[in-house]
Amino acid sequence: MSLIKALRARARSLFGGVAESRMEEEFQFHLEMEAARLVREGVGRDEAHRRARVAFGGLDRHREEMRDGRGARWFGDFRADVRYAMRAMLRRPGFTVATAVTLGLGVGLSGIVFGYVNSLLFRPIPARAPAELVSLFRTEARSGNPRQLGYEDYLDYRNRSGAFADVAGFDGTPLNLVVPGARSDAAADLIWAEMVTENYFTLLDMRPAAGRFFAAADAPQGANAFAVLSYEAWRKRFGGDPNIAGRVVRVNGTPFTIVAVAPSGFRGMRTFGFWPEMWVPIGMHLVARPGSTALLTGRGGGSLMTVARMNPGWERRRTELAAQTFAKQLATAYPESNAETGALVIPAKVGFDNPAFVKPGVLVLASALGIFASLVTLLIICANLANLQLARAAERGQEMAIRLSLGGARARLVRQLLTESAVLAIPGVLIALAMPSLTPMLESSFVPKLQFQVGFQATPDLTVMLFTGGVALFAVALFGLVPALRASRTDLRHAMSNTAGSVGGARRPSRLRGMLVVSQLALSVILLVGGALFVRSLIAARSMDFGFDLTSRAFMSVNLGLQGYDEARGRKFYDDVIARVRSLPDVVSASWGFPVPFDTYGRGIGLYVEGAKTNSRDGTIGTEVSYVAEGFLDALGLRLQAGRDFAIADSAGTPRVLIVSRELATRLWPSVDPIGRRGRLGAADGPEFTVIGVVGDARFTVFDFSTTTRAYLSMRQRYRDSETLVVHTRGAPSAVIPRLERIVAEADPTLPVFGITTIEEGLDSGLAASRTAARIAGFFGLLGLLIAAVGLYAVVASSVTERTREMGVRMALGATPRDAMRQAMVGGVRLGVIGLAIGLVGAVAVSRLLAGLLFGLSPSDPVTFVGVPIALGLIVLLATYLPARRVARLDPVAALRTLVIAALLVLPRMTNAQVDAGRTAFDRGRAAFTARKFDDAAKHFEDAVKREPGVADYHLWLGHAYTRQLKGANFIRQGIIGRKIGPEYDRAVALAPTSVEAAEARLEFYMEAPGIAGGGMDHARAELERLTTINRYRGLTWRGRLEMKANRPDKAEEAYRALSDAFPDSGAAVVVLATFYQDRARFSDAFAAIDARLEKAPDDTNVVYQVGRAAALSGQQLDRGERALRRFLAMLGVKDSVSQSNAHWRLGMIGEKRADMSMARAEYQRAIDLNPAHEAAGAALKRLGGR
Amino acid sequence: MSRHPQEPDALRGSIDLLILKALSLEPMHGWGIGLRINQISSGRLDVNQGSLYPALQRLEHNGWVESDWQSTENNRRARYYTLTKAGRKALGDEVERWKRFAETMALVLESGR
Repeated sequence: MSLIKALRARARSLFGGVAESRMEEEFQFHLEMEAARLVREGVGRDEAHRRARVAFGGLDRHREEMRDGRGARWFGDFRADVRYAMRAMLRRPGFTVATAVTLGLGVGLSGIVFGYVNSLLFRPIPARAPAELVSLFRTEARSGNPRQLGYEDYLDYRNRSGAFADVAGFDGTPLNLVVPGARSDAAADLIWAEMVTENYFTLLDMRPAAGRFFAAADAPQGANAFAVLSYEAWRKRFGGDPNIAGRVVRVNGTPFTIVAVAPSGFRGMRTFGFWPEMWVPIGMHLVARPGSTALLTGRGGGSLMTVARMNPGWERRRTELAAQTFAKQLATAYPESNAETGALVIPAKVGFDNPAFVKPGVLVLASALGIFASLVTLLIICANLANLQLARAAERGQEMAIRLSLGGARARLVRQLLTESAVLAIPGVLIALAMPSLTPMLESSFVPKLQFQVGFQATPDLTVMLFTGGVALFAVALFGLVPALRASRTDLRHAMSNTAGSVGGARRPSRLRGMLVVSQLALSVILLVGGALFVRSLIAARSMDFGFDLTSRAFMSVNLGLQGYDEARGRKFYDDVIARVRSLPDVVSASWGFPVPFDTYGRGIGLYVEGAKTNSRDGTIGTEVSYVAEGFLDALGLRLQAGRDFAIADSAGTPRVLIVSRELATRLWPSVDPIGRRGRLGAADGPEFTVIGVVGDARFTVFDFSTTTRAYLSMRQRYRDSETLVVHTRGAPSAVIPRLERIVAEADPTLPVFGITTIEEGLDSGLAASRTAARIAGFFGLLGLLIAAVGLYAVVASSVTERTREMGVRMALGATPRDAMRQAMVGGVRLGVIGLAIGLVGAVAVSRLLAGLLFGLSPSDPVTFVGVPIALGLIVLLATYLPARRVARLDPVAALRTLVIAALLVLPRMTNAQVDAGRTAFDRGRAAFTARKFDDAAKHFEDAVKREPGVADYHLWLGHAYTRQLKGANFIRQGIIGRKIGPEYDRAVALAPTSVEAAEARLEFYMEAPGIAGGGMDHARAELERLTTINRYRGLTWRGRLEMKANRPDKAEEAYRALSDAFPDSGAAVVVLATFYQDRARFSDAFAAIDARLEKAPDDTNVVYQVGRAAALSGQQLDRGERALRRFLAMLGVKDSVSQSNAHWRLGMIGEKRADMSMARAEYQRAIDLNPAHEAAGAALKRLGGR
Repeated sequence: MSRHPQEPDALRGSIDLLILKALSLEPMHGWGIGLRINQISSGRLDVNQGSLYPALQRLEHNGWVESDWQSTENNRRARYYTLTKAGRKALGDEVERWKRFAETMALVLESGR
């Protein structure tokens, strides 16, 4: 059709208004014309209009249909498809849920992974022209390692190199933040902040969420106590106060003015690092980092990270060359600090951090691997779903064939199937789209809780959503389109060949499909075993002995150094606070210490002891250390095994004392009592110490259990400006914490406390890494298992569907449903067992690697290694059982019947599609034969035989066609045609030696054909013997016919008797025998045969009829015959006018035999009414003078 | 859901076929097509007249017929439908297909007697 015309038609239909009025005009015209015509025929005017409307049918209905068809034809089909798909979905809820979940998780996973890649590689920096931003590092003389800059180098690069438009520096630091006015969790805390050069915000050129960023010109360095808040800090600590600019906070005790809030999503320039909550000018470094007097001086060994903006139009390479040239000038000018140092410039967008720490190349590789892995997972999911859809489509193969034969366009069918897939995918896609927005939640549950927040800020932005949506579309197309195309190309020939009775060879499930399922199962076993080990280990950890009490302990930390305390003030603070805490009613004991259990970081120290074995160069032995006050052992519940605890008397100026853990004692003095032993701190010439006590081994961290050596130093002898309060409480520790906070606030209202926690919470966060590992392994394990289960289900389902006919035939041949089901399950279970076995071997290997991360649990934990396979085994069984169950429900007869109907309907499509020329010709021949055009039929069958030789049916039917031609032909032609019949039947028999049909055809031919055409009784007898061996029933039947033909009724009787004896349950055999007797007027024998049968099966319809027939023919047992015929009529379940007519005809004969002519006439009349073609009844009626 | 039962595919196809056949003689307006179908079939096929129009619309979408507004003998405006070249070819195909379908149906119905 012409595209332009079609477009024009469609365009016209867009103008709904015009189309609407034209439609009305057309309808009106029609009605008037029709009315006018009726008026011409003499109908009254009003009546004519009424009739015209009636003839037209429902006006509204047609209007509606026109509207539907106008623009919405496609849409209408679409709506129908969607409805159909939804119904199909609801019919199979399990399938729908499995699809939604696997697809959703698969696509969503890709989205999440992409979210991370997006934030790592294409990190959205809310700065102006982020592509111009780079980072500058100095490369070390010998190693070439990138290092941060010293401040003076930074100034020179910024002011004198000309390599950059501008350079800014930043340096991370913790700060004590107090928000005056409110006293809550958020109002006073130890926060992570960055000291930034005063041009930092000018360089980035961001739009602040509130206020105005500070700049170099605002105030001289040291007088610029300004602060910029991060967006999160603004929300969390200030409730998003719109008048935030100008508010004053205390930073390390000094008032700072908040001038601005950074835009949402800006978390500093570093990708890997703590998220800063605040930025302060580096000019305030003496406040921000007390004691950092040298921060703004020096060249080598600096700590400034930089972000620089390139000169307009410059490339990174050119910028780097310029920077390197300038580095050479610096090296010449300051050889003592800068000799042989170079410069490195990297783009700021890709994983911005010191490349010595994180290599950009590794990031790209990791990202690519992540995306690849998630897409492969998705591909597997799609393959599974496509398999499922295919299995479903195969079930509907007959429906497809019928629709194609009725003229349904293939494109239309593809669209329908695709719509179904799309509708089926909608819940999955929704899940998928929701998943990336869970990323922050997932991240916060996976990332351990630290004092300062870390993470990759992978927030789902538009790009991530678009990517996820794209992947979802791709997935739907993949798992929808392939089955759609394949299913609509329904193999007509295959369907046909099944009608001919051939049992299609069962296709084995493809090897690839099997391998996929096996590997998915194996992988999920490994992951689930890993996850289960972690979970079990978490449980075990709770009951493990850590060496101290795990209940009723509160912790709270202070950092006096940041606040500018000197030692004397600090000691006084510690003493004041601890005295007041100990006086609280609910406090058992309290002390200071650092580090305490489950602190993120530990502290180490080297001990020098004469004679102790060590590998280190300076002769010291490294150990963990805690700086504690007296009473710490009690407060924590550590068990003193020998000697004494620290005392107040162990103060500065007295000899240094040390408490060691049991293991450390054993290491330092393997064979002697450690109490009173001496050593030196830090080095062979360090201060001397004496051991005063030994405590039981304790595990302060849950990461590393390899070492439990720990030394305890008295903080009275070794002052620290940051300590943690450890309080043993009587009741719940959380009840005491507010009072602890009040005590600290009373001692110093400007000092924030942080790290407020209980020991249970500490353990929780200490176990966070394991929990995260357990969650991740469990999540992916379950996902993998789900995918594998769906895959397994699909494999079994499709093999079941492919073999439905085979199974149906087997069951028809006597296999029980259970047999068939078992057979269907075997393949799936085999795959499942292989997968589980491989997975277990892998899991054993992996668990060895995990050994270091498992607490109080053997890596070959029997509960895990028995429980997981059993659970998975059950799932495997379920996944194979569910689809296999369908086999058991199979109704073999129904399965075959639908096939026959489908195949017959396929015929017209077959010829059209030219699927198979031979078959086509054959079908045409059958059609012509049915239409009694035997000449045409013979021509078509000849064609079929020529095109596709070797098909028994073609030869058989060609023989039939010749036979029918023979009957209508003249003598000469009979001779010609007759000779052709025999060879065709011969060939049919040769091709199908066990075909009853072929044997009967040849037998009849031998019996009926004249000798000249190849007929003859000898041939016939030989063929009869052959037929009898193939099918005894048919053989005996034909023997009777043959003997009658040969005029040997006794032999015929013998045959018929043998038939009914051999098949005592066959009513038909009795009917044959009874008819034989009736035909020979041996009515008593006929009645005897009939009665014998009726005794066994009184309700055999055909035998009941024989009673009537025998009575009607013989004139004997007339009443019984009438009753039998009336009963026969009542027994006819369906309306079968031919049988009814026959019964009435026989009743008429009975009436005649009784000389009841009115009955006879009435019955003959009924017979003719029911079947006007009933000649015998017609003749009888005429004879009686009726009609 | 569907506001009115849809005609089975076979019947819908046959209306299309009848229209194409009617138009194969000369261009015609909708009423005339209905009249002609009635005449050709000696009154045996009494097509619901209104259902001709959605069918015509369908055929026009397919590009098998074209329509334009012309004046009748009585000087009234009416929409005339003309068979296109594609329509003429489709008519041939449809006739062939219909015959095969009818043969097959006959085959199915007469077998198994």
